[in-house]
Amino acid sequence: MTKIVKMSLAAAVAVAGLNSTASAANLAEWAQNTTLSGYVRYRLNNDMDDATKDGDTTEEAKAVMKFTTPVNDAVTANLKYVSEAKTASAQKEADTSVKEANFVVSAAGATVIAGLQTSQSPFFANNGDTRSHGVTALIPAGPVTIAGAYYFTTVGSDIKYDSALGTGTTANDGLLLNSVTAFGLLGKAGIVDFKLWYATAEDEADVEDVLGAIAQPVKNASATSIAVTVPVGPVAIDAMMTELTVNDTVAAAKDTGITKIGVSGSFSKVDLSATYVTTEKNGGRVAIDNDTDAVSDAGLDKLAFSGIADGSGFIITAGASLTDTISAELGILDASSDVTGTKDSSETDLTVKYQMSKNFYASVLYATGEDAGTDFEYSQIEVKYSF
Amino acid sequence: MRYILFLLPAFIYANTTMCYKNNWSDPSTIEREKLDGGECKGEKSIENMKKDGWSVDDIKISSGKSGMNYIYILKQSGTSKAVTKDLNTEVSKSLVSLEKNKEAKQVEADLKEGERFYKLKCVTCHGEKGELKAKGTSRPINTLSIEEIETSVRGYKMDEYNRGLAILMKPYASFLYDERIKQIKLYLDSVNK
Repeated sequence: MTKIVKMSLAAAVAVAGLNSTASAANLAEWAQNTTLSGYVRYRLNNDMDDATKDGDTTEEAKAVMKFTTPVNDAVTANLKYVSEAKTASAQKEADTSVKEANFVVSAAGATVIAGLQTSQSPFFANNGDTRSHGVTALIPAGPVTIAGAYYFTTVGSDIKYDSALGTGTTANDGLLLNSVTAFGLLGKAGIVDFKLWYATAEDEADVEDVLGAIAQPVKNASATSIAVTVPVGPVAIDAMMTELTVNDTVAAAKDTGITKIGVSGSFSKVDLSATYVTTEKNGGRVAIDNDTDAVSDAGLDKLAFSGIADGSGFIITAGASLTDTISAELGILDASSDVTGTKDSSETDLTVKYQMSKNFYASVLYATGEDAGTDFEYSQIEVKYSF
Repeated sequence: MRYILFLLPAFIYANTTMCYKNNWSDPSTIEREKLDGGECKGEKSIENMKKDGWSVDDIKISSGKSGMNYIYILKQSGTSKAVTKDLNTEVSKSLVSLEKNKEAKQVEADLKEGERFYKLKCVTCHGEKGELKAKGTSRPINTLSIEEIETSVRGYKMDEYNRGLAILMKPYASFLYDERIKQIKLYLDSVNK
C-alpha cells in the first residue's frame, strides 16, 4: 500500500488537468488521505492437448489499481480500476474498466457497502472478477453475523446464462444478471465455524439481444450453501454442500450440486490438504457466475469438479518453503464420473515460486493430466509486483 | 518549551535575551507581533525591542504544528562575541531538545489515535489486546509484524486474501492505511508489554 503524500499542488494541477488551484487543492487533500493498492501481473501460458498437438502460447497482462479514501471514521470511498489484455480472447488490446466504485459505511458494529462492488456469497467468484451494483449489509448479532445483499445487476466475464444448466459453453463477457438477493449467516457454535448462504437470481437482462435463441438463462434460480469447519487437534476438517435449484420452465433446466469434505493441517513445515468431492448427476456447477474460483467449486488449475456430472474424486495438495525465498506446491486431482461413456479425469500440478522480495515474485506452473480421456499439458510463467 | 525557559536567566545576565513565537503562520507580520519569553515578556515585538536599543543577533525558524516557530536572539551593544557564540550553542541544544520533545509528542499522539481507532473498530472481533482469533479464523493480530498486517490488509482490499471470512474483514480493511496500521501496532505493542 502506498499513501499518496508527495503530490504537490503543482503536480495535482498537472495530473488532473485542472485550471484552478482551488480544485487542485481539493485533489491534493484527497491524495493526502488516499491509499493506493494494486498489482501488475504478466503471464505466459502454453496449452497443449492431444487434439492440437502443437503448443498454443498466449499472454496475459493485468494491472489493478485501487484507491481507498477514508472520509471519516464511519465512511470510506473505494475506487478500483483493472486493465487487462489476453491474447487468447477477443480482449487483445488492453481494456480498462471500473470494477469497484463504492462507499463503505461502518457504525455500531454494522457495515454497509453501497455501489459497484465485488459480488458476495459462495455462488460468485471470490477473486473480485464478478461485480454487482447494489448493497451489502453485515450486521453482528451475538456470536453470528447476518449478511444480506441485494444486487440490481451483476456483471462478470464468465457469466454464462446456460452454464448452471450444464448445457452451454459460450462465454459472454459483460452480460448481466438482474435482481440477485443473498442472505448469509456466519458464526461460531462451540468449536464449529459455520457459514450458511441462500441466494436467488430472479430474472435476466438483454438475453435475447445478446444470445438470441440459444440462451438458457439462469432465472428463477436459487442456491443454498452450508459450510462448517471443525478444528481437531492439529488439523481442521472442512465440509461444504452447495445446491442450485432452477425453477424455470426451460426444458433443459436441471438442478446441480457439489459436496466436499476435507482435512488440512501443517506437519513439519509442510502444508497438507486432502478433499473428497462428489457432484450430482446434472453436474456440480453451482456458481451463479460460472466462475471456477467460486468458493463452492473445487479444482486445480485446469480441471474443476463443477464440470463433471455425477462425479466423485479427490484433491490433494502439499506445499512447503524450500528456502527463505523459494517455495513449491504439488496438487493432484483424480475424478471419475458415473455417466455412461464418460472417461476419468486427472491432473497433476507443480508450482515453484521465487519470492524475490515482499512485493515481487516469479512462479512457474507445470500441469499435466487427462481431461475425460484427452491428455493435456499446460505451463504458465507468472511475474507479479504488488504495491 | 521548558528547555527555553530554563535558559532565559543566562541570557538576561549576559545582556542578551531570547524571545520566541510559536505556530505563527504569517511571516510578513512576525516582526510586528508581540513575542513571548525573555525581555519581550509577551508585551514587545521585534520593532519595539529595536526601539529600546536591542538588535537581532540571530534567528532560528522551524516548523510547528500549525505554522512556523520563531526564536530571536537579541543583544544590546557591548555584548561580547564569546557570549553570542555560547548563546548559539545553547540555542542549538534547545532546538535538538525541542525536536526530541516533538517526536515524543508525536509518538504519544500516534499511541492515542491507535488506541482510539482500535477500540472503535477492531476490539470487538480481535479482543482487548489483539489476542483473539477473530471469528475463529484469523491469526491473533498481536503476534503479527507490521509487514504481515500490511500484506493481509492489502490482500483483503484486492480480493486476494481469504482465511474463510474475508467478507467480514474486507470493509474494515478499507479504513486501514499504513500510518493507521502503525498506530494500531504501536497501541497493541504497548498493551502487550
